[in-house]
Amino acid sequence: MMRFWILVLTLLVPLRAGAVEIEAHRSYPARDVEADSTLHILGTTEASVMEGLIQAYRTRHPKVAVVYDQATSRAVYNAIEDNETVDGSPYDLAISSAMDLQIKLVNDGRARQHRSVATARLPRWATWRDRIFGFTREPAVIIYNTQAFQDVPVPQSRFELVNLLRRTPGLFDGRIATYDPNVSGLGYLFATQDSLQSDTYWRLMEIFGNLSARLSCCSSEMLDKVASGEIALAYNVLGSYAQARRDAGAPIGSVLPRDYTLLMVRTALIPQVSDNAEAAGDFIDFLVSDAGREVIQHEAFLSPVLPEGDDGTLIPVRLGPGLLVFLDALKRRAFLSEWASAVAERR
Amino acid sequence: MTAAPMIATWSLRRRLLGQLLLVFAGLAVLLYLSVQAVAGRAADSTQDTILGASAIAIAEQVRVGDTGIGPAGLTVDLPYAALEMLGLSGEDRVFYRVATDGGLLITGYEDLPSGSAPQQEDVPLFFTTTYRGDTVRVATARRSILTSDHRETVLISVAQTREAFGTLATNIALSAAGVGLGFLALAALLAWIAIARALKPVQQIGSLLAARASDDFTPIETAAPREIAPLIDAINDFVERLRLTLDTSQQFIAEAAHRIRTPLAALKAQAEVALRDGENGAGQASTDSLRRMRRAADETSQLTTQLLTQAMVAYRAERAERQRLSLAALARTAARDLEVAAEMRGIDFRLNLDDGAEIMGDEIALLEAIRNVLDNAVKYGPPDDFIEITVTGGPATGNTAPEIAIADHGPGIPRQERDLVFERFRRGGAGAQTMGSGLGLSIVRQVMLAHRGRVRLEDNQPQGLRLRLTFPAPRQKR
Repeated sequence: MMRFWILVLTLLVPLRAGAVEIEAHRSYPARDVEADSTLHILGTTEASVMEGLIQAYRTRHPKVAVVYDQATSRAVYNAIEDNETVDGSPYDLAISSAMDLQIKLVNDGRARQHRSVATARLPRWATWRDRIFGFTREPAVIIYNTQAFQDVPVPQSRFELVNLLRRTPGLFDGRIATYDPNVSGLGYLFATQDSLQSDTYWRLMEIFGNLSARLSCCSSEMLDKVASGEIALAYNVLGSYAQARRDAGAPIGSVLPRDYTLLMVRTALIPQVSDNAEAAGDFIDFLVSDAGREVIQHEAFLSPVLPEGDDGTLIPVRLGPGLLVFLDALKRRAFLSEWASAVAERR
Repeated sequence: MTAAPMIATWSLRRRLLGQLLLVFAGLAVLLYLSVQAVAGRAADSTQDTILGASAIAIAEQVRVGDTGIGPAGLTVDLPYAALEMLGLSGEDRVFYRVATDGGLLITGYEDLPSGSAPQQEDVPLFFTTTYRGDTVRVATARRSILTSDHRETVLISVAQTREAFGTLATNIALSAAGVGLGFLALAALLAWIAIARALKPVQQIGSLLAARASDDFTPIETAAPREIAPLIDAINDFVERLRLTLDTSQQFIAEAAHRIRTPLAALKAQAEVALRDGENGAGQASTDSLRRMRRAADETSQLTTQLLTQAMVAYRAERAERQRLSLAALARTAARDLEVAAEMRGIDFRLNLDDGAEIMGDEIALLEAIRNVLDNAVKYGPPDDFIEITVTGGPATGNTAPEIAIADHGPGIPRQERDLVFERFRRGGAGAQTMGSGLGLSIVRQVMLAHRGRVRLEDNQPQGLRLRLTFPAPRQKR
């Protein structure tokens, strides 16, 4: 995949000037000799996953150089909220899987309006105020180790999962995992949205607590452990990552729960202070275009947001002011305390 | 009769339609403005309902927190629906603030203005303000809560930008404008049809007149709308006057032909007598006949001249452009013209003229009229006498109506004949021995009528006739 004639700088910078804690930094010069501008992107998506998208964008816009900085969703939020800069320039695009934090940036007036033919085709739940644009669909799935489930029926819904765990606790004690909402912003988003959907979630969490569930920081960690067989089943894992692992040959199965499956979207927004909003708008238009969806599907191994919407059991987390509720500090404390009493204290 | 070129300055239909459309357009604008105002209020009240419900939903979740947790010992469990429902009506930004009325923030956006505390707990207060660069509508609810040691008042404010509701109001108003424009178009069409129907009688009368024979002077008899009846009356009146004028002209021509034929016949007879005398060789008789012939030829000539003069004067009096004239100058010119004739009879003119008297009129027609009066005075007055010509009406004579008076010392006209002498070919009894056509005073009357003036015949003291021509005062000079 790597095109060696392109000069690609990959740097790992633990701490950089300013307050942004960058996990990975990549710089792509413009393909034309004469570059007009540089597009500064700050995102939570792994730099290697973004690679294909950025390359495809550069092919279409050869005069634009691209800088990609990877950071956690909280770091992305703080950087945009505080107008942090990179090499003296403000960020032109913020990509994050934390929909709630992105919505708060838009609600607080930190994002710039962008309208185009391409963004007009997005389903309503995937965009808000013409300022935030969902470009990948991330279903929250149940993953399992296929060997562990050779003799056991794979649960197809939360109800079946609750029954399975109750009937055969011995098989799963200490071998189940889910996100720790205290640590992971995405885990917190999934947990709060689950709590809004049904009470089954709380029953499930109580059982997770009883079975000494492992609490994890991230999807990749859970996938690693399920692949190795250390853990038999993990709840609320990003479906696209699971699919990628399975395609790579790992013994992993995934289930879209039949009762409902939460659908998170990875979103992009243009910060208000961007000084290259035109290139940023082009990048967003590319992400949601047919060509962009092809690249997302086949090179980034993610699921693009389709203009036609989804079937009934997929419940998209709606981009809107409702997401602000669980960001409220008192609300967060109350929710985490309730969650802890359901899960952690029983371990 | 040749049709005069019609100058169509404007169309009645277009004028009516234009005025109606102007009124309709005004009404459409009024409709738009009033609907906009109403829609604006409706949008406000819709937004208020949602904001109020949201604020109250949050207020219900304010409670005393666990010991030491939360400012002022208070906490709030923000209900998901409270903010989610604000996202249902559009994509407006949402802000909230929960704080004690002392200003201690419990949660939310610290700098969001809460306004004043509402009187009742279940009735939020609403206001509009600017927050973070946008116009927002704010609902503030109040909650009174008892903590461990005191009663605390908490203000709960929920704010939302107004884009969706502003758009809603604009859309409603635009729909109203669309309806208004639709009505305008419909009204224009209906007005066009209605006007065409209303104006139909005018066209009918037009075609009725066009279809008429040129000698048909009967009045138009058609059922006309009340508004058009005056027009038809006027046309009928005009036709009647036209008929009278034509009658008069025909009578005049018949009479003139007859009058001219008589002296011509006499002339012819005299000529034949003279011819016969000449053949017989009687020279003396021939001279007598020739003298009579000359007299007949003179009479014919004078009659013809006067007839033509009257026709000319009548035309000029009616048509010629009026100009400002000095009455005294007219009198002088007329006197000079008749000087020779007067001298032959030993008559003097005594002029007593106010040079300031001015009238509006046609110089040629007026001169002819004055000359006729003077001519009569010269003819009928006694020889070796004088004729007084007086002009009054200028500043020197008190600014009365301009007037020229001509007085002689002849036989005068008896009272009973005074109305008759103005008739055409009519001569006073005193004129029987004098050569004349009987047209003179008739011309005078016609000219004076055309100038809206009056002719008066009076006795001159101790003897004779005094004829006064009185004019209306001319318009003031600018």
